[in-house]
This record gives sequence, C-alpha cells and structure tokens, in this order.
Amino acid sequence: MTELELLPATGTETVVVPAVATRRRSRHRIISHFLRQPIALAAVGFLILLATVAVFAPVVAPYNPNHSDLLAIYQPPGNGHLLGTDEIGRDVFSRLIFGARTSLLAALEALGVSISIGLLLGLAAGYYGRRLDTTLSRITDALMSVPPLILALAMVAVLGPGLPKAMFAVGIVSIPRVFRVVRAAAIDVRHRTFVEASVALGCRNSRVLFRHILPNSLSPLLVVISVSMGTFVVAEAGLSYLGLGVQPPTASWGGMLAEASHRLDLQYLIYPPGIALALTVAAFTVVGDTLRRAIGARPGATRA
Amino acid sequence: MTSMVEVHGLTKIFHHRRGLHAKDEHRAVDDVTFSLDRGRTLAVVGESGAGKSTTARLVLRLIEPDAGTIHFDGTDLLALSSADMRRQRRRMQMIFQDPYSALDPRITIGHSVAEPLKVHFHMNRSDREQIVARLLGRVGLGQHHLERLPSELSGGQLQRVSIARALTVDPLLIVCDEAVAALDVSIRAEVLNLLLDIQEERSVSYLFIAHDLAIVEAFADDVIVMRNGAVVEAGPIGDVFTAPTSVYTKELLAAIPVPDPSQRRGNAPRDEPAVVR
Amino acid sequence: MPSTVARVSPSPLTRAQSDALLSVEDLCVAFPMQRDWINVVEDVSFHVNRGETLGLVGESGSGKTVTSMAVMGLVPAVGGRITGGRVRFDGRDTTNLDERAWLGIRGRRIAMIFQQPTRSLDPAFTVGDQIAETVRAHLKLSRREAWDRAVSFLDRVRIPIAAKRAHDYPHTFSGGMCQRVMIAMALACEPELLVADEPTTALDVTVQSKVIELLQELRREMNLTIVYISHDLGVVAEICDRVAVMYGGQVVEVAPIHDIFERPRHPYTQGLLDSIPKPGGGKRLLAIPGQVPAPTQLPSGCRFHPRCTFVDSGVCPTTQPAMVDFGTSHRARCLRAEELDLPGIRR
Repeated sequence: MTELELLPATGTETVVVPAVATRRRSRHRIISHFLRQPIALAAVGFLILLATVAVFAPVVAPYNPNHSDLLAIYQPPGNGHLLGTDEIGRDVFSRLIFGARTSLLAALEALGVSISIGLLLGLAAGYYGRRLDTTLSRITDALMSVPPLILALAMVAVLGPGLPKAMFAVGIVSIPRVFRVVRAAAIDVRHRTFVEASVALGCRNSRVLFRHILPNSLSPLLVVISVSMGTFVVAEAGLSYLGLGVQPPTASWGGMLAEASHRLDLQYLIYPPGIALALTVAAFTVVGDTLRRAIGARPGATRA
Repeated sequence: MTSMVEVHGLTKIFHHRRGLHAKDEHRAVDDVTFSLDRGRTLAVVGESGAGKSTTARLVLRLIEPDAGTIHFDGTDLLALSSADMRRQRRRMQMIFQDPYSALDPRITIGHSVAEPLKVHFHMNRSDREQIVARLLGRVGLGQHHLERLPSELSGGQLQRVSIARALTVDPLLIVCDEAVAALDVSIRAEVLNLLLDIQEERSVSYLFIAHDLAIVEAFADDVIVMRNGAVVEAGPIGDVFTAPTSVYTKELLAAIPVPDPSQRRGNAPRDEPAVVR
Repeated sequence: MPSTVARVSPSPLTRAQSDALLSVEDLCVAFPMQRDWINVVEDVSFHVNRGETLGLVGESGSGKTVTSMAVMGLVPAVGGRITGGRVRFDGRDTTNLDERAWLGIRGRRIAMIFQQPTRSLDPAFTVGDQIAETVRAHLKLSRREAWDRAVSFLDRVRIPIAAKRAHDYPHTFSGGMCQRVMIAMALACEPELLVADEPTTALDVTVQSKVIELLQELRREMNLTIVYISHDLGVVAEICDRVAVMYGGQVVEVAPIHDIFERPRHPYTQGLLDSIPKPGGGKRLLAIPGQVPAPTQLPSGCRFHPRCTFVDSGVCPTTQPAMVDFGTSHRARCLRAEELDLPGIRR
C-alpha cells in the first residue's frame, strides 16, 4: 500500500517520503502548520479579536462614537477617555472600535463583489477554455490596468459619495486577482482523471463545474482572500481619508487619520487608527502567507 | 445487430501548431473497425502512441471522431444530442488507469460510488445507500469504507471502488483503460478475477485496453493490435497469440519477457562462486 | 533435495559474503511517522558478488527502494535514518560514511539509474553536457576529453549518430532513448556497481527488450555488478543470477534464479509466481488475498501470515520467523519452509 513518492523539495535534492506519512486530511495539515508558527497564531488571534470587537461594538465601546461633548474636545488619554477625545469631543477609543466595524464590513463587501464575479468567471474560463477563456482573460487584463482609486473616484462622481459604492468599485477592480487564481486552478483540475470520469459517468457540465472543479480549486483562493482583505482595509482607509468613502459622522480609521492630520501635534489622535490599520493589514498578510506555505508544503500541492 | 459495440472507420486527427503558420497533423486513430459482442472481452493492445486510449475515448464519445461511425447496442452514438448522449452514458462506463486520481479526493467513497445514481435516476436516499452498500460489499470492501476519503485507501481498493461506481447503473459495456497497469502484481490478479466474476454474473462486455500482453492473453476473448493509430491485426486471442500474421505482432510477442529462467534469450546465469576465504 | 538444513541466527555472514562487492547486513532503516521513528526496512541481509546480477523483487511497501537508497548512502537525504545493521561496499563499511567520503563513491564506483528516464534528465542541458559534467566531476578529465568520453558512451549505448545527438536536449529523445542516455551517464565513469531501480517499467515492451539486451552486453563488457530492482518476474528471469524477495520491509527469500522459479521456499514467492498469467492457464489468476501491511500496522509474528495459504495458526501469528538456510545460498524466512513443497512456476 505504501509507495514511495518522489517529490520536488525546496532544496536541490529530491525528497522521498513514505506515502503513509503524507496521507492526512488537508485541514489538519493546514492547522498544524499554523500551530507551529507563533506569529501566525498571534495573527489569527488578533483577527478573531478584531472581528469580535467589530460585531459587539455597541457593547464593547464605552461611549457612543458619534456623541460629541463640546466641553471636552482634544482631551488627552485619561479621565474616563481611554484614548482621549477628538476635535468635537468624541471618544477616540469608541470611534476606534466602530471604525473596526466599518473597515471589516467594507472589506467584506469588496471581497464579496470580487469573489462572486471572479470565481464564476474564473471557473468558466478555466473549464471551457478557448474563446471564452481568451475573451474573459482579455477583459480582466484590461480591468487590471485600472487603478482602483481612480475607478472609485469615477464611480463616486457618477453615483455620488458613499462607502458601499466606493467599495463596490474596489471589488470590481480586484476581480482579476481572483479570476486568475481560480482560472489557473480550474485549468489544472480540469485535466485530472476524476473530472473526465465525471463526464464519462454522464454528469452535466454544470455538475462537473460545481461539484468537482470548484471545491478542488478553492485552496489557492484562500491565500488570495486573506491578502485581499488586507488590501481592502487599506483601500477603505484611503478612500475615507480622501473623503470619498465613509461620510461623517460615521467612524472610520481613515477618517480618523484625516481628522488627526489637522492636529499633528496631538499624537494620541494619530497612533490609534494608524496602529490599528497596520496591525490589521499585517495580520491578514501573515495569515495569507502562512496559508500559502501550508498549502505549498503538501505533496502535489499545486493542485488544490 | 448482435454486437454490443460496432465501430467502423473510426478516425481522429490531432492538430499541433508548429511555429507561427505550420500545422502538424497527427493521426491518432486511423480508420479503425471492430466489433464487440455481449458478454465478451475485446482487448486493444499496442505500445505507447498506438492510439488505444484515444480509441477507447472515441467509443465512449468523450472525444469527437473526425470520421467513422459508432453503434452501441444498435444506437448510432454520433447522431445523438448531447442530452441523449448523457443518458446513454448510463449504459457505458469506464475504469481508468490511475486509481488515485480517478476519484474526487474531496468526496467520500460512499458519495463517489453513489454519483452515477444521482445523475441518472431519481431515487430517494435510502434506496441509493442500499445499492451503494451492496455494491461495495460485492467488490470486496467493507461498510466502514463508505466514510473514507480516497487518500485513505490503497491502489487496489480504489480500483475496486471505481468498479463499484461503474456497476451502480448496471452498464452493458465497461471500458477498462489499463485498469490494472498501476497496481501491484499480486493485486492485479484479484481485480481481474473480480472483473471476470462480474462479467459472468451480468454479461457485461469489456473493452480492455492494455499493453501487458501476458494479462491480455489470459483475460480477453478477442484482440486487436494497434500501431500508430491503425489496426495491424485482429482476431480471437488464441489465433493471434499462437499464429500471428503481422510482423509487428510477432515482434511484440517476442519481446515479452518470459518468467522462466530456463528460457533466457541472453546468457546463462552466473553461479555463486564456491570460493572459500 | 537439501541434505542439511540449519537454522541460522539473523546475521548470516557466510564465507562467500566476505568476497562480495556489496554486502548488506541486518539493515534497519527508519522514517518519521506518526511522531515516532518506524522501521520500514528491518533485518535486511544480502550480498552481491562481483560480476553478479542480484534481483531485488518486491511490490510497493516491500522496502526495496529504501534499501537501494541505503546502498547509495542516500537515506539521510530522503529524511530517514539507518537504525541498525551495516552496508559494506568492497569491504568498506559505508553505513555512517560522511558526505565527503561518499562523493568519491557515489557516481564513481556505484551508479544508479531510475524508473522515469525522461524525468531524471535535466531539461535545460544537452545530453552530452550532462554526461560530460558527471565525467569531469569524477575523473578529472579536460573538457575535450570529457566530451569525447560522453560521445563514446552514447555510441556504446547505441544512440545513432551519437556525436551529433550529444548536442541535443533530453526532450528530443524518446523514453527508451532517454533510458539509454541514463545508462550512458551512469556507466561513463566505469562504476563497479550499478543499482537499477525499475529501469524498464515505464517503457514499452519492445523498447524494454532492447534495453535489457543492452544492459546484458554492457555488463559483460565492463564486468558490471548489478542490483536490479523490479516487480516484473519476467524481466528478473531474463537478467538476474540471484534473487532476493522482499515483503513488508524484510527479505523473505534469497536464492539462485532457477531455485526461485522452480523450487521457492516462501509462500509469498510462490504467490508472486502464481499471480503471473500463464498461457493456457485459463482466465482466472491466482491472487494473494489481502494487502501489504503499512509499517505502522505490522501483523504480529510473521508479517505475511494474514495472507498466507499455508499458515499454521499455531505458530505463524505468534512467532517471528528467522531465516532458514537451505544450502546452495538459498535462504527463506518461513517457519514452515522445510515442510512445504511449493511447486514454483510450473503449477
């Protein structure tokens, strides 16, 4: 039963591993990869904390983020305000927490747009190939040449300001990233014997696509999702900083940075949103990177 | 028509782009004609590049032929719409060479075996599960295999799963594309015996693609020998193997290593030196 | 009919072995599995005399490839560890040899050829370059001399128009031709021992026949000693002088070629012989029921007993069989070896 498989290793020698040792469920392998890297664990922990805070924001935040106390503007940290107050007396800490909610929701919206469209198009292009593939690839290539913020500006100009519209634009522009990865995975999976077997059994194309090709094309997508979330969070912050995203008084890290730029001497206004942004993006990137390595470490890992 | 499968003048040409303008033509299958009766086994033998696998895929219409006709149980396969062709597939199944990649790695054995039933019949779940359980037992696997993933089974077991899957819809034809080539020698015998039992029980016809002539001789009734896409010889196994007419067939048969050291073609074996230190 | 049958303890260092070019003694190799080091090869002993061809026969899970890795000193490179026994090449213990010392042996005195010839050649370099590079590394020849030698070996392995073909890349060679190139590369430094791991399994039968012919010729010309790993008993019958049969990480039988086929002593060997389809043997093949055990789930007692038709339920599941010596260098690891009368290939 155990056959020795020759695998290309990272070094120059070929690695022969008894197959018994490598036949574990892929999920466990990915999890164990994470468990071995403390930074990855910290990143995952941070993201879970962030998500929880975002979901339970009204409970966690000590103050209403939009409540302004004009008698206590520009208060430094202390006196009941953990991180101080901003230019119209709103609690910075509470705004930070609600800002997390804004960031994550915005990122999820962009993610939803890019995945729903990118996945379908990528599967179709990878599976059907030829003309459909060529057409879709050209279109997404063209889309890739559009700078996201410019497109967001254009959409805002046409449709009016607002974060949902802006993030929709960011999502659209991110379709090519998803498309490429899914298409590559679909092309790879398409050639595998079990796909031919499904057709030979009598499966319709749609069944082959959704029951067989899709699930086997997902794991490279996990990496893209994770890294993209980081990008989307920054995009939201950038748009809100420019005033194109979130509209006041809604709390957003980008917006807070914009307000903080009026009083650069007050460091307690700059650091919280800046650090929160940096940590969030770093966490998503680390998770994405660890996933990439965990998936890549498996034998035959180029196939999902 | 008494034949299960009748193929006339089957041809498939592949085109390769060479450089910017030139196109190379490769006749993978060239004017192939044969027939296969109910309950019999026809072997298709030849070396790599002979066109055996392509022929098998043409018969099942997994690839479209460029010329020729394919009749399956009286039906002209090439005249069918894609929906009708899909329905026909119920009656013609295939076992593939690599047992490890023939099953979706993310789907449990039970679900993989049940798939043809889901695709072709409207059955409730418990009926389906009954059939799957019965067939798994028939191929010599246990109920505990239902929940396993393909990665947890051996090559021989996986090939049996593929056979069970093929049997769920009670096909008339099973194409075995080098079905035992990737298995260990001692496992091959088991799988082949299983296929023989099934043939006796259900009168299934086998189109048996192989390059191992020794197995073909034991297993098949008739044989066609292919070379470079064309049939160079055809006939009952006994005739072709004992009195081949084609030079190529003779070459093939002569090249088979005989598992008998007293019939070595090369030099005699060296004896262990009786040297005493 | 052997007149003396002796029960030998598991370290048979007979007289002939001390003359051997390669001697493997009680070898144990372990790999990390399930959080522990598990032996995938255990108590393996065999020897190969100069000029001899030993067949190493087994199916997947038998340990034959790992054993060949140990002969080449490649076990650490593949993540394993030799946990017992030793390997001796030309009298010298190579079991714990460091890499520096191996550089003078591997490729120079012991060469290896593999199963998938098209994958073993570097696609980025011409065939002549690859052979010349090996030659220069081991034989300290000039570029010109190394190239000439490469061409002469390509010619020797019957590559037509060798001088021109030496400038071609591997992808322009067919499978059979690639294997010849591999053989040329392996033999260009005129090694004493060649380890061939299923070199013809991936080849067409007519091509295989020619490659085997070639190996036989070269063996004669260069007085090569060969360890030929295969699961194909037909090829083994054609090329080997002696055979070691492996199962579940152990050697279960060693015998001269005729004995293996006509007078085997181990039920597994008989099972292998039975599962070969024979002309006029009828459709049904004799199979060995069950499957090869994983190294982590070895049966108690004899490793083969759950699948054995001759099992004696009194002793076989509980006692681990030692090698039984039948004289004329025939050994078998079976508790019932003396009493069984196995028919061999002529059933």
